[in-house]
Amino acid sequence: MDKKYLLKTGLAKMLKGGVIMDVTNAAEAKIAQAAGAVAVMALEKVPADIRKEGKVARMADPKKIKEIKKAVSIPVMAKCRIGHFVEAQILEALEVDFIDESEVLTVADEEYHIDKWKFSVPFVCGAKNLAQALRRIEEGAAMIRTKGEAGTGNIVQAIKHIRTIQKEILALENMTEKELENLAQEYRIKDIELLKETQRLKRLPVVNFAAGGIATVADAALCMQLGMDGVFVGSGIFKSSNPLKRARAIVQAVTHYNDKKILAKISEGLGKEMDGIEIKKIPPEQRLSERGN
Amino acid sequence: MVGVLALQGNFAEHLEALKSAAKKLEKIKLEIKLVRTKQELKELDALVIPGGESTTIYRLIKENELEQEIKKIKNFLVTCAGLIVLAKKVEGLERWQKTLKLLDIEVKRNAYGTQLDSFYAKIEGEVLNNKEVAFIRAPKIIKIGPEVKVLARIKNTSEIAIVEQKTKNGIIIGATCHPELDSDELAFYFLKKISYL
Repeated sequence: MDKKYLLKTGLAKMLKGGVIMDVTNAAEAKIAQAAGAVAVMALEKVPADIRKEGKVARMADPKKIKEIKKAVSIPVMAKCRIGHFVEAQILEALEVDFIDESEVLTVADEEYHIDKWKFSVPFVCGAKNLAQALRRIEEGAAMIRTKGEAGTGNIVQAIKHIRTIQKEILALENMTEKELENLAQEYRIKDIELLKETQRLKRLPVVNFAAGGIATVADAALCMQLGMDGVFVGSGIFKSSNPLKRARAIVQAVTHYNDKKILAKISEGLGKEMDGIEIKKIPPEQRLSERGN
Repeated sequence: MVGVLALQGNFAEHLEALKSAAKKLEKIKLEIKLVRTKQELKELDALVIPGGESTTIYRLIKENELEQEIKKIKNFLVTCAGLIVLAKKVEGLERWQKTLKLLDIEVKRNAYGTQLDSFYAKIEGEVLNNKEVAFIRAPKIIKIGPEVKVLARIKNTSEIAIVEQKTKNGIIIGATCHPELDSDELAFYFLKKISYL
């Protein structure tokens, strides 16, 4: 296989069993790192604030990204808009370790995602079903983020999409070559090998984290018990009353996700979690997880 | 019994490489499992510490109070972040981060730069001779103690890729790279060594 791609998926593998935390300045980045984050996502605003403001959300100011890179020694990720390959070029020039082509920012291109093979920096992309995940991998994504509804503190959409992808992978089990070819067409993917590999592995062929709406120790462990390789936590940490304590607990939760006694212990006394939003109260056109296809 | 420390990182790839290597050592019966708690560390003859983030792994060792139990184990195979966790001296540690100081080497963290500076390179030596291995946000070994032997270097350079140190009653094998991503050769070398100790 292409060595350049193996280095990208290789870094994704090193992140497994870890928590990637959204941060908006050097001080938050240091807290995230001290809490045990495996990487930080450098942002202008956390999703909860982007949602509240309802304005066009773009790539962060390079100054901000540099400030955060300087503050920590763990990998630094940054988001660009879907399809905005120039924002991605700028992020690559800033030498971030990973780019998130993210629906949390406003979509730049309604037709095409970024051709990620053209970059040396690895990409992570969101997906709410198997077709989206495989299309993103075919475009060169080295890691998949199951889409939840970012900035809500509500796990329901993340769980829905984790289950959707699982069901669709299970359905591949007894498919014949011909059926897979038809499915590839339906999924709009060119390479049937990608479907065959998924069928054989019984999981996505790249590292798969959960994201969107994770606010508690139990939320993080739930995603892990459902087979995720790790979690992204956005607003859930720095919108809670005690970010350092909560961040530390979520890091533990992703390691000890199968140990209910440890989960009970680390869930205790973490202060108030972020305010949550009922998904039904968000009109479909304002749902971030519906962006990008 | 061989444990793979599954606090964070690519422990699944290590487990796979070890299982594949163990199959080739037919005569020796080995149990290999993932470990996360003090109790699970107690029964081990050997521990593998995977790649990942050394800051995260250190934090989890500390909060789960694993340090004393880890120090009682005789044999270790460590790669990348795992190498940093065991190193005696590390340049570029976070202020609050400590290491277990079992392996007598001096290491520089993130010595090559960011992910853009990650690379595949051929290494040469006693193990994985002439094989290409991945160096991902890799550390660099800048000094080794008198008891430490170099097992492999990056081809045509003086840069150390894999080392071995004999300890009172075991061995430590440490790599700055990730052989486990592409082969079971280092796992095989390690299991063979500890089986005949």
